[in-house]
Amino acid sequence: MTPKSIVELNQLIQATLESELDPIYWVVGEISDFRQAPQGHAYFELVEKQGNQVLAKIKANLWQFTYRTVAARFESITGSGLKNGMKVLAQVAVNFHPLYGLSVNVKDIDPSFSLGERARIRQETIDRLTVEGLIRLNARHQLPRVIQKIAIISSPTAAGYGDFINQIESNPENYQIYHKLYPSMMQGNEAVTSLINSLKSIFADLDQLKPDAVVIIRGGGAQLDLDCFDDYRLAVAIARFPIPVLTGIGHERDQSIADLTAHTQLKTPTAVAEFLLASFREFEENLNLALTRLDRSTRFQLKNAEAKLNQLSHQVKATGDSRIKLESEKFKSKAERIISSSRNKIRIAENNLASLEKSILKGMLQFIRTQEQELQSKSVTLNQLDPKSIFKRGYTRSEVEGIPVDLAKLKVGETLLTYSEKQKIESTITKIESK
Amino acid sequence: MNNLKYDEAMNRLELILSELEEGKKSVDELSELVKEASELVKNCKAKLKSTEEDILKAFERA
Repeated sequence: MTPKSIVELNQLIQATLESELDPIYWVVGEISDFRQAPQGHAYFELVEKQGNQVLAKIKANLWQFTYRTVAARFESITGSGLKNGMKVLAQVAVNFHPLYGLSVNVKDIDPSFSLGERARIRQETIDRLTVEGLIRLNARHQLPRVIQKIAIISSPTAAGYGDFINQIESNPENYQIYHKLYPSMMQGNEAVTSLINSLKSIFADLDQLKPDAVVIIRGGGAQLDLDCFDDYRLAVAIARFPIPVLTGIGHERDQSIADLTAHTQLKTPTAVAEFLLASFREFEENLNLALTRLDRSTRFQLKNAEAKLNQLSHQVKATGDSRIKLESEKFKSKAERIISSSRNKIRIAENNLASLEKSILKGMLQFIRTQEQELQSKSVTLNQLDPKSIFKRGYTRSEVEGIPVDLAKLKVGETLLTYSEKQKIESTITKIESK
Repeated sequence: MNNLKYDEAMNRLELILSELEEGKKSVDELSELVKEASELVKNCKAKLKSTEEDILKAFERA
């Protein structure tokens, strides 16, 4: 057998492949080693892996014209460009080049497969985070009622960042929000690592800076390449962060996984700024409300107290009045009792006096009567003793020289003077005879 | 004689009465005494009368 030249061999392989293989196959593979050539072509490898182990791979070419149309359609449907690690369903034609060897020319890439694939991966991530209890973990941190100090993760050159700063710094109420930027790449292959590093920097500054919250913002520009925010590691870093993380990633399509594990998810940086300012406004409103209530309740209580006081003073007055009335009535009745008892006493005294008077009078008259009777009896005695009345009854009285006969020492010859009623008889004693 | 107080007059009257009872005096003296005693009785009666009137008057006024 005559040995073949390499050219002959390669021509044989080429002919065999062309005769044996279909012109077109649909294959599933992961994009790896993706490169864009200056001419507008794209070169990469389609790889099949089991875990991290590569089982098979083949070179793939996307020629300029195909690349332009396929990539545009792919981006518009999936929101993402072709890149490494992406699983794709590609329509390929196997091509063997004598010089460059075996490769496939990619004719088409089905974006709906990648979309579904991405959704599947996303769901897997969500399921894993759910199982690990990380979905609402960050949401458990208490967000202060007024968020005054924030650490910002963003790209300093992003339009969204500038707008955000402008919005929080020139608010009409002049609320002051302290903010510090931790710059990060917000898209591309390095974005996840960069974002996580920024979170680590904030973590290192926590004690010193004491921020109320972390704000991750990304705004403006294309709605492309949000895949980094669906990354499991970033989601975990956000979930486990010890203070609340707010997101304003500026996408409209749907939630990213970072949003799911964040404390509070907002659509855009503008919405985040509004959220922060709203916390101030709400607090101020509550403060004003509290002041109003305080004012109202103070007035109410003052009014109540005044009314109570009035009522009390009325009560006191009424009680006092009735007490005074009662006392004055008591006093009156006492006075009346004193007067009436005094009158009684006076009456009794008067009666006593009158009876005394009467008995005095009576006694006196009695006395006078007694005296009169005595006088009368004396007068009668006198009358009886009067010599004239004796003479009247026929008796006479004799005496010698003024001495009654029975008392005088009579001598014969003495002159005896005898008195009768109408006569005075002188006689001489002739004989004295004792009886 | 009119100037005698009632008690003195009564004493005097007693004295006269006892003297009259004794009968030691002469008839003339006795007559004099009776006269005096009658006078005394009259005066005393008058005095009692006026005293009674005075008393009645005084109590009437009260």
